[in-house]
Amino acid sequence: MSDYKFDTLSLHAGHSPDSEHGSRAVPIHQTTSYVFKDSRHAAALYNMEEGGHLYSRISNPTVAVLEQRLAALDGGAACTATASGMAALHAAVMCLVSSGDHIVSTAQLYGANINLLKNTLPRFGVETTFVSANDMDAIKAAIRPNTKLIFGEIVGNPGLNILDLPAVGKIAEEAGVPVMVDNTFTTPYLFKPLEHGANIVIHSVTKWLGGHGLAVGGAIVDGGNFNWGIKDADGNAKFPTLAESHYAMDGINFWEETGPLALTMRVRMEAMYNFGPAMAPQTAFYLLQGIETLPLRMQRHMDNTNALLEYLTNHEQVTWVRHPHLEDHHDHELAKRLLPKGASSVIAFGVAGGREGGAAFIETVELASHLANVGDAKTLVIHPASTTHSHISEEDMIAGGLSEDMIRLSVGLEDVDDIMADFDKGLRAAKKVAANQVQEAAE
Amino acid sequence: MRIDVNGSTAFASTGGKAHEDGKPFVIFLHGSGQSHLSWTQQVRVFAYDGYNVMAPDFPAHGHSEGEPLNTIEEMADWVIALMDAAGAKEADIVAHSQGCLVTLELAARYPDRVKKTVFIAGAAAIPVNDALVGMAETKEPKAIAAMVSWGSGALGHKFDNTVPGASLIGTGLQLMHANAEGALAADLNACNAYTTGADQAAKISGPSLCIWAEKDKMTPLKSGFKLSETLPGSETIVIKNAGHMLPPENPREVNEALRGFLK
Repeated sequence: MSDYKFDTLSLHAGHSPDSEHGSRAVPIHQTTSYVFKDSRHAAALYNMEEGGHLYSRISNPTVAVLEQRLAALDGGAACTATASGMAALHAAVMCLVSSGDHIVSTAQLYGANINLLKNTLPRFGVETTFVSANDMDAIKAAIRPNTKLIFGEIVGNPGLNILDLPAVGKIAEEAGVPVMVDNTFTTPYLFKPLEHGANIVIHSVTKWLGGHGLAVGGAIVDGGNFNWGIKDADGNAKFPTLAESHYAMDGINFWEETGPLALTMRVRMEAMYNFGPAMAPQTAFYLLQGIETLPLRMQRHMDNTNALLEYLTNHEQVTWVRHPHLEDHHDHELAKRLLPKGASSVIAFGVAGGREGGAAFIETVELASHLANVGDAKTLVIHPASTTHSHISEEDMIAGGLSEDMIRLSVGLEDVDDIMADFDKGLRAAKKVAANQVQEAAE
Repeated sequence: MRIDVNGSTAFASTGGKAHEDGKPFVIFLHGSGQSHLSWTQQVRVFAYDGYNVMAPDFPAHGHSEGEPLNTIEEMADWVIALMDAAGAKEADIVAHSQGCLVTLELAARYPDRVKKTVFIAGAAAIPVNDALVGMAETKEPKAIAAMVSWGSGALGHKFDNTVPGASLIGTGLQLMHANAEGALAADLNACNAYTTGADQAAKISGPSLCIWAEKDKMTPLKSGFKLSETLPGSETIVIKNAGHMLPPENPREVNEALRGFLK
């Protein structure tokens, strides 16, 4: 049997047709629990002696298909699905760090990611140093003996900077620190971080993977490619949550007993057990339907993105356009090298009339939806400064590459001529605002 | 457990339970380029079933230190040294692939130390083609990728698994990459050089069970049947539509067979 390629895995990975009924589609196992064969079987499942499902907060057969499909697409050792992308980040971090530990993170992040690292984790004794995404000297200098994780987004949201993952991965490997990246904007169709120096990948599956704005979900893909058994300078386990006895299951040592699955098993046995961020089986089903067409959709997303970049950069009412495909983007060369299939279908741009012009644009467009999401099949627009990033400080906004007049566009799959016609109307509205501003200034 | 064997630190999974006096020993021997991690779906089951379990990493594999062993005969002697160090006077042996060759040697030469033997996806001889040996010597990642692909069965290639969310191919690649450089080439050369398996099989008098995979590309079913015929009084089970990596890929069938045979 040959190794299946990406498009085939998008359709088939993780699922063999049901042997009892022959269901071709992935069945929705809408159940909380699973009947044990006998008491020994029950004990074996609780004690992690053998694989299987015991309670849907921990695992579920439909959710497992999604997990196995994502592990296949990203080239990981395993995957754990969670209730949201933020739950994935939280679960992964909490299973790795303890009070007194330290994280190095790029500053160009989604607002909630920033808040978790900057405002929540310090209350539990975990400090994060934020560094500029591709300042390798700063990343190197920020690593301390107690640093347990380097975190970044492959394509920063919404600043659209590109993380030089191979360079970060090299620094991290030398320092004995794992690299975790958020690959939401690119999906494994455009970029596979585990092949470029990452050890853990998190996704908001809600976005391009699911791709239809139907269901919220997240995932942690475990590369299984980090040596969790390394020691610190004192000869103690550097990652005790994985390489020392667990508090349950008779003191299992995840690293010794499960090797490449150590982090996944800790997530399963601690985060899913104790925090409870389980994905619902119905959600997994919806998201799987999206993943089946991921390669087709991502190609269309990128085709439409390239067409809209040309349209926007040549439109007189558009004051600036930011996307890594454009030559004036500071990460253009990096994007060409790392992301030859495309650097996401999110475009940031400013319109004549500044903040008010942007508001007029958003309120005028009809086809593009004004809402707080990206990666839908439908075109979406939002004003981050007043919405998604409104809870972070002005200083963090600047560090994240945001400006007051910025519109974030998530390019959909519509006929691109229709998107342009819609934008023409929005940009005419922005033009009126700008003209009024000029008139008011003159008066 | 970490234990000194022939002056070097060896690692063996005990399935999460410390050994206790009076319990029977069962030892799981891994295949070429593998480690104790190919037995994750067996070791805890049998440890909690009441056995003293050891799934060792051969030297330079997994967490065991030292240089790789170069012959199947040396590997058999090393297992005896491990048993001596762990206080195992006798043990049942469960072996996969290359481990089957080691077990033939072990059971033939040390009949008083070996009780029952289980051969999983194995044969009396495992010749390795020159191209694969060459790859293992000079382009190890390519050899690993090829072996994981050939070794995986239908479930592995479809990324289906009894362990929710885990990828058999992904974990297989990582556990092989975690071994010391040169370990895989040494294993494959050792398999190639071992030609006395059928003679040793004929000497084994204890009970034997053979578990073969119907679609095994590494040790084809017909070579498994040949070993079954050579082993006096052995039982044979064939797992349908399965590939070479039976212990992680088909653990339910494997464990059911093991439980029935070892009890």
